[in-house]
Amino acid sequence: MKGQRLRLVGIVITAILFPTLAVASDDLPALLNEYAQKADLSCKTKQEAAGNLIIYTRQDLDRMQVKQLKELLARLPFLHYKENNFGLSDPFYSPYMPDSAVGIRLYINDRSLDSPYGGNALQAYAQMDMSYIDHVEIYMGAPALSFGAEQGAFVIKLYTKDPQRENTDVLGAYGGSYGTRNLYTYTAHVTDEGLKYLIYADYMDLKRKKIRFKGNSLNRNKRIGHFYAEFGKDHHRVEIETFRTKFNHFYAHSTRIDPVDGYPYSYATNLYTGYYYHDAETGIKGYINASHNKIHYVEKSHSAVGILAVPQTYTPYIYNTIDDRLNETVVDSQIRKRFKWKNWENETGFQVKYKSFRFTDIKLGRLIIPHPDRKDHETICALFNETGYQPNPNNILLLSFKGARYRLDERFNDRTQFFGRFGYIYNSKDWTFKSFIDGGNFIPELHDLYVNVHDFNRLEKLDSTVAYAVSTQFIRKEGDRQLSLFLSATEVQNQLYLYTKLDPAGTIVRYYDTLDAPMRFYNARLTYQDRLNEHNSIAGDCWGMHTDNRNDNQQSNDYGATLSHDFIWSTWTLHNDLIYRHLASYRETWNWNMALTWSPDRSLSLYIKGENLLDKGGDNRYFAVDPTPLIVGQPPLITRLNHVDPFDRRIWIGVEYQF
Amino acid sequence: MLTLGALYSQADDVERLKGEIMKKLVELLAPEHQNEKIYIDKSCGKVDFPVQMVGRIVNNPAEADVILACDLNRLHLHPVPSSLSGKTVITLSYKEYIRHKNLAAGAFFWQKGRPNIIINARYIQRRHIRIPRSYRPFVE
Repeated sequence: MKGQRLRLVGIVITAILFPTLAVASDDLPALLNEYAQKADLSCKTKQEAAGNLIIYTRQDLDRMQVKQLKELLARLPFLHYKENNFGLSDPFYSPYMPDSAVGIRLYINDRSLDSPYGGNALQAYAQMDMSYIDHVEIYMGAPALSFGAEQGAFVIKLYTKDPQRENTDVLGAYGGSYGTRNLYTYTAHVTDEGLKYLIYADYMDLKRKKIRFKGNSLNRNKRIGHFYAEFGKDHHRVEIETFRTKFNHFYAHSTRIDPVDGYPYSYATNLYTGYYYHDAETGIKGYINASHNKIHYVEKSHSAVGILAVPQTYTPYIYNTIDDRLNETVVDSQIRKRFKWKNWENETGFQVKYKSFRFTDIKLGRLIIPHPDRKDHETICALFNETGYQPNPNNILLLSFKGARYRLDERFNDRTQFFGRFGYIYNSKDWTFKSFIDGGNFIPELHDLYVNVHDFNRLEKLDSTVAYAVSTQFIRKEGDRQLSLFLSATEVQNQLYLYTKLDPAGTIVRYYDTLDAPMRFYNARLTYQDRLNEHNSIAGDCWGMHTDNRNDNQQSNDYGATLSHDFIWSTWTLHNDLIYRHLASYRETWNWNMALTWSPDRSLSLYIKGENLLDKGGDNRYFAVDPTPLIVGQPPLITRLNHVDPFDRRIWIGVEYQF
Repeated sequence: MLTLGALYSQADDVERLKGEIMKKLVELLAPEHQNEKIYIDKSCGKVDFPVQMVGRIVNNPAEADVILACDLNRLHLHPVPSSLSGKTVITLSYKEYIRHKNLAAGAFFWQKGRPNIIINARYIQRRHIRIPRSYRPFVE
């Protein structure tokens, strides 16, 4: 009896440790799973010429039960996911530092998401529900120039669900720790007349873990109502999107990190529409889109949130509240044409993009600030060309260049941007080798130009950031196994930073300037993925980055690794991943995520997901400077808030039903 | 974006797998026809059907014993229900399966971002077809 029990325990342990040994092979279900994965991945290879790519397929997103883009940002190599003092996603955040001109660009389909004042729209989108997204492509380094007028160190492209592959009406709901709730629905079909449509609506009440600090509660909750629709037929597609948000903004400008309970917060309303044309036969592609954003921002703090010098008397005016209203507008259009001639392929395009913002109300304490009766705007006119030469099926040479003119408000100087890229790709059944050399200048964000003039009274021209990079990737493919090595070196000149000095009169002089010494990044990444059998697959990466002269003129070394395992058996899917980060000036982080999905039939899917189960998933550091003691000749007061985890330890439970 | 990089893609594998799945469905749902004439509707996309393993691919649906189609009306087999009697029909679209649920043996189609299979419960009951246990989630 005892021997039988031991044997049973042995079988159970074996089944847990080596699930493949305990289950029998299923013919048709296994084939179907393999087909699902391969059909997804086949899209990937079509983009090889666009750059060094990481792709999360629909099957990956479903297995991982990814609900927010920030979960993918956590997995990005060479980055440390952070949230800023407004509680918004900003991987390059450093307190008081300006946005990096060479940052992350976010796209949904062909639309670039921009916030003319707030900088990157990633801040808002990274924590929104992404149940309408099919798959995600992440380009490391400068990708194809046809993506958009503005370049980035990372380009993230989100693709909405394809009605041809959906053919469904879905209702889904999930809830999680701290009282988070989300309800979404979408319908996607192709009619007999060939009209393709996707309509999606979502309401999310995202409750975040509250940070208690010096008796105050710092809140990062977000409430979002979101609607997205697209309609397409033949070569035409129309997209419509609107969302209304209420974001709680952590501690925002509070100079002693002590906001009044319930503040700061903002209400934002966004409206977007776009028309897209694509004719694969003639190679003509074009679009025009427009978005408008209205934001009402309210802040109240026990300590000062800012200090102003009243012009007539030069007496300091300390304010504890802000009440702003801001409008932002973006209009973007592009037309491009692809030509093919023998072994040559060429794509030429022209893009015009207009970005503007305008404060309609600025109230600092009881002081109403007169705002200029005009918009702060920039118009970008860009011409780009990409040429590819393919002498034989294995080899491709690529040469791209772009010239862009930034026409700015008369208070700032107009700018010209140039960018070039040369690439070589070798591609065979077993090997892929890609190498790119690129370089160009990056124009500072409109927000940074505005702040330098309006907030810091700095009239000198802010130089463009210049970046050069060389990158190489080797990929070895063998059946379902793939090994790759990525190497890159980047030099960034004129990186923006905040210059701060106490002048002899005892006031703080601050403005955005550019670093004299170039920053250099050396990156290496090794990845491995293997579909062990029809039930198990593993993937992992490890990377290192050496940086010279990052902000504080020091050298630093960052390391990271990710390991993931997927187990599929019958109607069950289990995903596990562990993300490790060791970054200079931050503590080590271990982010373990797990998702268990049960799909008893085609219609129903139930899942439970654990996020940041070890509660060591990330590390953010904040500090705030209260300058008011300077008025009485005392040094400014610095308040530090360390070790804030941007990932809440959370359990999600969800259900999805298709009719 | 240039399209030159579309080399050695997994597209061949995808077509092969699609064909393998169709073959399995034919073997399962039309065991008596698996070595006979099969018609595949080309408007549903390219399929690398493993012809050497099963039956014979024909271009005329009227001649076929097994029909795999995404739109039965386009096959010009009027009237649809009676002209298909005696043939095993597997639809390649969910909408078409719902439309012709009484005569379709099963379906293979994309839905909710992934490929799906339906085995018609009434059909297998009527034909006394026994299916492996692992295929039961497909039976509706």
